[in-house]
Amino acid sequence: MFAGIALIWDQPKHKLYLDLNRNLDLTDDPTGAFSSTGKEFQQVLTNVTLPLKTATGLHPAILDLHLFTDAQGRWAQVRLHSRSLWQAKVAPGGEEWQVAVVDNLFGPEGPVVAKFLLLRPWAVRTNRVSFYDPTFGIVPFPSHLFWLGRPFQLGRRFETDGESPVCKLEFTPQQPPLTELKLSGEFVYYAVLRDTNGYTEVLREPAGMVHVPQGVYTVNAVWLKKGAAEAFRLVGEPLVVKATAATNLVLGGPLTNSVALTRYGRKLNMNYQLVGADGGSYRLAQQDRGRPPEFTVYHAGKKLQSAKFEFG
Amino acid sequence: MLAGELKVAAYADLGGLGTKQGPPVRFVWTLPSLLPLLLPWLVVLGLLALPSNRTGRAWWIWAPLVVLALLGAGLGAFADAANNEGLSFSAQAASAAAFGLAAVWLLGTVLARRCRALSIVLMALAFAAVSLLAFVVSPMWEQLWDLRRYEPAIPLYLLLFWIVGGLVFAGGLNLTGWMCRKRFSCLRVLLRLPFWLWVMWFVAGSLLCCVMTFGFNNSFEWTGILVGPLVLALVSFGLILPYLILSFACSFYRERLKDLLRLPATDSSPPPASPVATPESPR
Repeated sequence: MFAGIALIWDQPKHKLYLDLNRNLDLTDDPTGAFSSTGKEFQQVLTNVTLPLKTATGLHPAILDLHLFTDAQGRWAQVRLHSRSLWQAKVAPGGEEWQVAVVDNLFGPEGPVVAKFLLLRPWAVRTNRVSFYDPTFGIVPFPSHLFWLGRPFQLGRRFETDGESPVCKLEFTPQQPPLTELKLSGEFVYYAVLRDTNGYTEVLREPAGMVHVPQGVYTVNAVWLKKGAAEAFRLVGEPLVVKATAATNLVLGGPLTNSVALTRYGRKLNMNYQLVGADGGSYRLAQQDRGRPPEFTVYHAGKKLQSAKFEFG
Repeated sequence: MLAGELKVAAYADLGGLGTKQGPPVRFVWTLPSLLPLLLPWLVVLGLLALPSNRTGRAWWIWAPLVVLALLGAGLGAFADAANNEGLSFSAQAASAAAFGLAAVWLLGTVLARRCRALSIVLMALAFAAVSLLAFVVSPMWEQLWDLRRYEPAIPLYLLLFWIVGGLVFAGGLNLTGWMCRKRFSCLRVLLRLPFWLWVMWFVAGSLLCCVMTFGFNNSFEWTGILVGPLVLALVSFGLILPYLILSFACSFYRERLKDLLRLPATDSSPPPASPVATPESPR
């Protein structure tokens, strides 16, 4: 069973049968038969549309299903990738943005609609997003939003009167107490900061002074861009910004190639690091795995050895 | 060997987001002390001072020990060059076991004076203690010690491993001796010992599987029960073989092997003046 839907995976014939009408009869679902691609024990089905039961009714969800089993067929696993979101292209200041609301199809309480908000420049709308990794700018749907220099109260509602359901977002201007935030650092394309009990900020400003709602923010996502090169800040080292009064915030580049050296018994472990101006770790968005970073070791001023780092 | 300040610089094309060459990072590398490596050799030297070993022929124990230590060091160097930590760990463990076996051989007479059960336990503990000491001072130990942050019970697992290894060797030697009780010969020992080592590792592996399956509800690959003991038995026999060869070649250690097998020693005194030779008289 998956999300309340019975299914049969005919692994040898690369077929998946879904009980779309949920009557536990898989012979009366003409649109419920799908063909998979891939190897014998790892098969993939793309763009499978499923009607999911949510608190607000049935919602269609488009999924990719990755099916796994072992050679003996003793177990089977299904990994789900969602391809669905509610989105609009808006250009409030002449700059195009993707404003998207994302359903959480895989939560422990079952499918929940409009659980997350995704706000990012339209040009990077095809970048991968994961609920569990705030690096990409996705946040739990906030009650308040500070976007493009303006504070809003944020609401959403669904209209199911027409042929297809519509998710509508409401931006109600607010006037919270503001404070000065002096931004420095280079190449910031956009950044997402969250105050746990207040505003979610989406910054697109260049370095300089901005006014933001007062709060203690955690930096969720920082995306850098220069020409074709893009990089993003890794989570793991939370960056907290105490913006209850005027403060400074360093984000982004220039990035520095570095290496973390740790002794491991009689070995020296070398871990490549890409460090931002804020001291945090970054990663290139398009890392050519065929050309990993390199290192050179010097001893007493002489070059000892050069080699490449290995991914892993 | 290298010591002193190292500088490591990283390079990568950042496509304009930063410069290609990063600043060098400094690290002061100090050489580990070599003195601890001498400890197991000193233990063997100390055991040579036991009254039962106060003969020049006892010093032949260095021959199999040095051969195994050199083989272990060579294999370890190869494993390090190939960046194969599993093989490196195995080489260090095998070298450590060589010291444990040397201790067992040097303690053979003392152990033979005890009852069989106590002898087996003491032999296992002697093997485990000396092997563990040799393993603890080996380069691999520092890496394993660092792994405690991920698995705090690693020292306990290693202690259990060496005690089980000691019981396997002690049990294997005792069972081989029992099989050869009617007639002792080099060939009989060489043929029976690998089998009993396999049996002992099989029993140990089966017990481990039962504990993991029924005690901790973990699934276990039962095919490993058949292959694992076979590999361990072959490695164990490979380690004990140089000591067997020494025992076959040197009369002093031949008697020591008989002590370990709990077989009657060869009587070098003249036979009693009797017209009829008893069938049980040693040959």
